[in-house]
Amino acid sequence: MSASATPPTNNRSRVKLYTLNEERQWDDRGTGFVTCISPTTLNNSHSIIVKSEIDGSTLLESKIQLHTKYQKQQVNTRETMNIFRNFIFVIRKH
Amino acid sequence: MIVWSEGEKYDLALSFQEKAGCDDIWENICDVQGKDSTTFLTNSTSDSAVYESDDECIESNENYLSTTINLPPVDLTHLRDICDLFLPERVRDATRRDYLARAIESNNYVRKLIELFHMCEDLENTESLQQLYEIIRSIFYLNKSSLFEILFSEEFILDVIGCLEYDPTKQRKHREFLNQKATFKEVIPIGNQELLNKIHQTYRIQYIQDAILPAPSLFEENLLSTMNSFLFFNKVEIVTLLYEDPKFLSQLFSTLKDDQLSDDKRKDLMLFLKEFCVFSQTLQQQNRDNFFQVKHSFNEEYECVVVVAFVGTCNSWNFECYSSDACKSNRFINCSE
Repeated sequence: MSASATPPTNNRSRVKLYTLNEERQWDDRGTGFVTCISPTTLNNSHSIIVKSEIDGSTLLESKIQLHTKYQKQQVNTRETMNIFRNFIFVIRKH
Repeated sequence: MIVWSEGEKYDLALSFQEKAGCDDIWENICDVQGKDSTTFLTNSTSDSAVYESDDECIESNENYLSTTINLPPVDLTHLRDICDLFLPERVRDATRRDYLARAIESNNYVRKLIELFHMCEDLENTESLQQLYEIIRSIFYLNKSSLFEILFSEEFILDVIGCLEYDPTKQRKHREFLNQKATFKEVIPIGNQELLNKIHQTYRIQYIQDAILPAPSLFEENLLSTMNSFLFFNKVEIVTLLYEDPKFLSQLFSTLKDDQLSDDKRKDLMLFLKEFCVFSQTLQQQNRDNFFQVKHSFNEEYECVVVVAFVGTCNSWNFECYSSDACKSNRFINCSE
């Protein structure tokens, strides 16, 4: 792995990694710092790397494939949504 | 947040602390895949009903599906054809949904549909209005934030709600309700026009979610997840703007402390404060710290109000809350909803 694979440790690159389990729930796989690496001699593809903020171990190394459909979402969990459901109602009158 | 699948069942999500970080990685991915990361709204004024796709779509899609979606012209004779664009077998494929959404975006299609809607309302053409209901509803279920941006814009949102009145199974007067019955109450006057607009928009979207298109099942709720996100981020923005306003919280607390305050008004304020606290707990850490800093500065003077408000947040449905003065006089106001 090249040196460029070490992500900068700042808030901007700080992420939580989740994977979807068989019960369709998101499992928290840890918090770390993310970076994208360019092809190197060892690895001929672009990859997304997440290194743990605790011990620097690699939480994720994922090749960016051309056919993978990435989605950028501004999503929070359903549970979180329900908390907000009523927020706006206090500002109105029936 | 960036979400993708690897292999058949392995879904991954990266949740970013900062939006900028998300945008960084997103740009990288788009670069590698040869896509334009800034593609969002293309305000094409072209009248052409044919959507010409970009080259990269063909490339990434290996010609598996037609990348050009010909949208029928928006007129009475083509309403059935437009409805048919959204037939289940035609929107099952996620890639086709993307192309359809982009075609709708870039052809001013929503505007044309709304214009046709006005015409049909004038003609009292119920059959066509019900088809328009079906079309607008189907656009919601494409679940694309770029389309929600258009549907929820100040210009269109009431007309969109108008279209949604023509549900063949239960016709309801949503616009009348929103215009006449649901007047806004400002617990504390809000001077910021942008904030007010955001609140009004959010209220209307919330109304759509709760009253017009309530999710009959978890499955359908997922289909409208982007609308949820849209609402969520509107609310984050509202709360952020409120706590950044140097006068808002101080006015809130000094009003609460006022002996002359009516019980009704006090109740409104406490309900508001309660929601505000609940909401703040789920903001991102950074915002939350700021929020509690603001709160802390009021803590000494209005300790009782704040503490009680927090107690209130623990029992979310039925609780009694006190103002600082009310505590002393052993008076309480029931804020149960």
